[in-house]
Amino acid sequence: MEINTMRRKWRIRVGIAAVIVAVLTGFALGQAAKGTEPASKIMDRLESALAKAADYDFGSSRVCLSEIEQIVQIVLNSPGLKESVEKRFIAFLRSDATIAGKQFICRKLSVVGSGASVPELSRMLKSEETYDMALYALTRIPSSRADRVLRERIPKVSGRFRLGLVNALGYRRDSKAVSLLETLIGEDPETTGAALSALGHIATPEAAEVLARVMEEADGPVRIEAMNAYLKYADRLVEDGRIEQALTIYRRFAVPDRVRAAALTGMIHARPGDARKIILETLRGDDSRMKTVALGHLSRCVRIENLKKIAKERNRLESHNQVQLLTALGVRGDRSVLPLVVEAVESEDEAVRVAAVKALAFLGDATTVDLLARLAAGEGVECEAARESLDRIHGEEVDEKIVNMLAGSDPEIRVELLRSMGERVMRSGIDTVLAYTRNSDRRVRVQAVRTAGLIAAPERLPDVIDALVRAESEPERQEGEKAIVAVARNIEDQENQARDILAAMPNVTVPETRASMLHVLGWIGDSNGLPVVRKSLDSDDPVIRKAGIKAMSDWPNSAPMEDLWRVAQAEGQKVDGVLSLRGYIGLVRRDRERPNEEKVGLYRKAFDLAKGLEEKRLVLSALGENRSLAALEMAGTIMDTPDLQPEAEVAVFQVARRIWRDHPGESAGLLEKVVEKTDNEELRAEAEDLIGRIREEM
Amino acid sequence: MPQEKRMNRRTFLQNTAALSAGALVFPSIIPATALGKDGAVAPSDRIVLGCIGVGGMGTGNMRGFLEMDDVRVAAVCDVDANHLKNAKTIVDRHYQNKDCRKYHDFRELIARKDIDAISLATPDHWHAIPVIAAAESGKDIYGEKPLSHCLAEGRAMCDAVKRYNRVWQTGSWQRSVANFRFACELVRNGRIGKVHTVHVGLPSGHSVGGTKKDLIIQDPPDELDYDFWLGPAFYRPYFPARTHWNWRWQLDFGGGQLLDWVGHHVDIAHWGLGMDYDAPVEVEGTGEFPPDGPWDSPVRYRIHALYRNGVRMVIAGGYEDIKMGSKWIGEDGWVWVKRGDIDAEPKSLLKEKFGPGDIRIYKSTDHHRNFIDCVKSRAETITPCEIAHHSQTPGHLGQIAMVLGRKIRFNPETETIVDDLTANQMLRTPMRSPWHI
Repeated sequence: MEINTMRRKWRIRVGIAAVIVAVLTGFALGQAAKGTEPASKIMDRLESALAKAADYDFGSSRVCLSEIEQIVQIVLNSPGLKESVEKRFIAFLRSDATIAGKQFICRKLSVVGSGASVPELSRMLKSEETYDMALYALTRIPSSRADRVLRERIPKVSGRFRLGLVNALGYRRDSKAVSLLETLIGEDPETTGAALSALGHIATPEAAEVLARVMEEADGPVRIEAMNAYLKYADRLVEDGRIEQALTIYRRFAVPDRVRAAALTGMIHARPGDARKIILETLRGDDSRMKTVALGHLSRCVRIENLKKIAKERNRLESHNQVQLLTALGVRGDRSVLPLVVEAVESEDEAVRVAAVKALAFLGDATTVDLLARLAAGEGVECEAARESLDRIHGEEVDEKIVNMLAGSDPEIRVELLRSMGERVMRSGIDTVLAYTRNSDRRVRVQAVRTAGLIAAPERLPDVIDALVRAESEPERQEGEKAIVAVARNIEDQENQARDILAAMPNVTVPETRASMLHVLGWIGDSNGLPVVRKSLDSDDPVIRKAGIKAMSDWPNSAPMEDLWRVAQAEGQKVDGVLSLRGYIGLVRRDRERPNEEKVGLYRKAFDLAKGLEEKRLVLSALGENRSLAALEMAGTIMDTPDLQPEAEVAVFQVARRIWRDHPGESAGLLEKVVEKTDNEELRAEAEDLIGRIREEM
Repeated sequence: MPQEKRMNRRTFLQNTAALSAGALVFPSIIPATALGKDGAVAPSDRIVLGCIGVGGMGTGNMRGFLEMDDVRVAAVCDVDANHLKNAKTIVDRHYQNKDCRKYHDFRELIARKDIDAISLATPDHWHAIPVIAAAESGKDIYGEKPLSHCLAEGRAMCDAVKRYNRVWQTGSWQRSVANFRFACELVRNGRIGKVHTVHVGLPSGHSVGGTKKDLIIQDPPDELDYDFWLGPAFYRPYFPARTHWNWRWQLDFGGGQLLDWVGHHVDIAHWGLGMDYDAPVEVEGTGEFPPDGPWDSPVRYRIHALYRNGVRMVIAGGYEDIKMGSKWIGEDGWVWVKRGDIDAEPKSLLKEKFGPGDIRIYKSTDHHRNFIDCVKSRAETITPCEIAHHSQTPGHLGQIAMVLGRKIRFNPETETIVDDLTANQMLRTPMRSPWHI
């Protein structure tokens, strides 16, 4: 679960302090770990820390525990000290130290402890207060004395105390516990379940025998638990290479379904070489559920070759199994089944057809281009899948086939072929694509321009510009703009990206086309284009003026800011004035170089100039992103304007959330005003939360 | 007999999952009505889903599933009655009825035969037990990252998911985001040459939620079944910041920033390397643990991992030289990616386009949707359990190496630490009675 995306209502800043302390501690530990500290001194440190740990309680300072942790780390890398430290830990457990202190030492003993710790831990098993901590250590300590203690204790306890011991024996895979565990089967359900599970973990032949007996004799949940445990045993046999024994077990399972499915899985894993045979047998059977399981393996099991036989089973399968089969055939990528998959494209079942078309993405070749292009140009459910497959099929001859098909195809199919040339990044086909920008069919021209934008190299930019100049309709011009920007941006020298456009512009007389070229200059933002854009603001043609304002508004940096401001001031409420003011606000908002306080000054100017509410709201929206006291104060003053109150309240909250640590008093003050005035319940709750957080920290 | 030779874990993986990992899978949708129960799809037109753990992340996931017409959220489960009430309200409001059932105990939800799949977003120490129970009951699972609380639990979860043929999706959703996929395709297609080093930058410190008074030991509130919440973990007295959100800074319940994030950025690093099923053979690390206070996970850490093919990975939190995200360094350049950002050297790589001749990795654009599609088609999800386990492994090993203060050598085939009994003991955490896996 990632941590930065979660919404947090309040937080404590402890990280930095913790880092500082930890760095200092880490330094001290480093010195000891280098072996520069004599053993006697380490033991003295341990004595001192243990004395403090004896009084440790949950919630009190952990410094003494951290000291012990450091010493344990040294001990783990200096085995000579281990015995002495373990003795001290045992003595600590015998003492009247706190329960919290003993719990901590048991954790440490679980990694440094040996058989020497077992008697004391065994004693602790008898107390409810110390049972869990002692069992924790005993579960891990690698000594047969621990196994014996656990076994001996089982008959003397019941309930959760017995369950814990049973679980620990399973964890430790204690082979000597089998007969004892068998005696527990048939007791209460929890104990029976734990015993069966432990036997599954122990997984010796003796344990398996017990499980097999239970499977024969029991029924209901007990039988299923025994089966699950028995399957674990079989899986372990496979890992150990005892395949035949494992297969014998897998073959025993007939019911219930999920256990049978697990057994089928086990058989395939045990004999991957026989997977094809097992899958075929299953597909030829009459159990639809097992077919689903088998087909799941078809896509995952590497050692299945010659898939034709399996593919030929398709017609006998139910629709959903056919879909699974085709998906799996696609994943495997064995082209020998291509004819069978193509056949499935004709299926009457919609889902089967789609699955077959999707599989062609991996299996298709030049022979399937025609089929996929036709389907992609159609209106059937396969259309989207066919496009994706056409874009992905491999091979040089595929590209050649696509180009060759273009000439003789209907416009609809031609559009799909051109589209795919772009997705396939067929750069070598650029001449063909550019030729189709002159096609008589508008749909083909639009697609050709779009594709040119994807594959044309920078040196072909004049050809793409030429396509825009020839454009006869708005959709063509819009595609042309996008294509030119895409190609121009691939020019390494950013100050040269507008060169070809500027060179072409003097010859362009159609206003709509000149407007398109101005748009392009704006998106590119090459400073060489700015004088041309500036000049457009003086044009008598409103189309050109509007295009110039748009270009400046889209400019990637703040270079045209003053130009827009001048128009906004001069034109006021007229269309050019309003558009310029909006563009101006946008440029200020996107300016990453300008200090926040300076931006607020510019917002204030814009706010004062704006006559319309929309522009004023735009300023408030931008203010909300600003991280400064000036922004908070400006939004705060606007809260008193009734028409803008809701937006101003939100802006106050947004700014306060960003700056309250630096300006807690001012933030809390305006947030209280929000709480008092707002009609927005959600905002009020958020503001109250933030006020609470600020007061905690103040 | 060739089949009689020992089949270790690596051989098994090569025989199974590696194929689907390398291939591009387009799950095909099957009408759910057509599938039977143990084909694991609902008897109705919809996948019936139960949500276990409905705090912040669990509710977020639940909302994602609620948006899908072919999913029906039928039940919610949490040991916090407030979470439960809130989740039921959201579901009932969405469906405009009162049908959503509440469960306090996940076992009751899992026992429902009409539920096809579960969404699990419990704290880390509560992952393995419900997952294994759900797999045994034939449920498919969308499970939050990090996959596991310790390495052995991760292995047990993977084995159960494999044994019972369940579809699994890990909440490592970065795989379903375009800039991560693009970065990985650059690396996979050799655009930066042979990769020799990977830097994985993660957060440092503790992003603690709450106020100081939330650290005062007190009785648990009535709405929270604290003993159930502790479950398999050691008893510790309650304070409000012990549980929701802040459990992750306490090693009894979570794994600190390191384990919280390896499931994202190491996951992406492996994806780019094409090493989804690999694990390091040597790991060493240093960590700075807070010597006092309620949290015991490292605040700053640096882990060095070596893979068998010679690739070196540095995983760090709190070091300026390792930027947040995943960075592959090759002989001809580098690629770096994090959420919302990508960079490369040479810069021209950022404009790279891939054609059909290039390696195209598994494409998903919606992580929740990918899970549901795969529940229906039975195809592999973009982040199956085994992949998540391997993404998590360097984190678990790093944590052990930090605590022990020494280099450990790991055998990825047996998933054991070589010649180090103590380190091996730390691969698995004992569970408090009566819980077990």
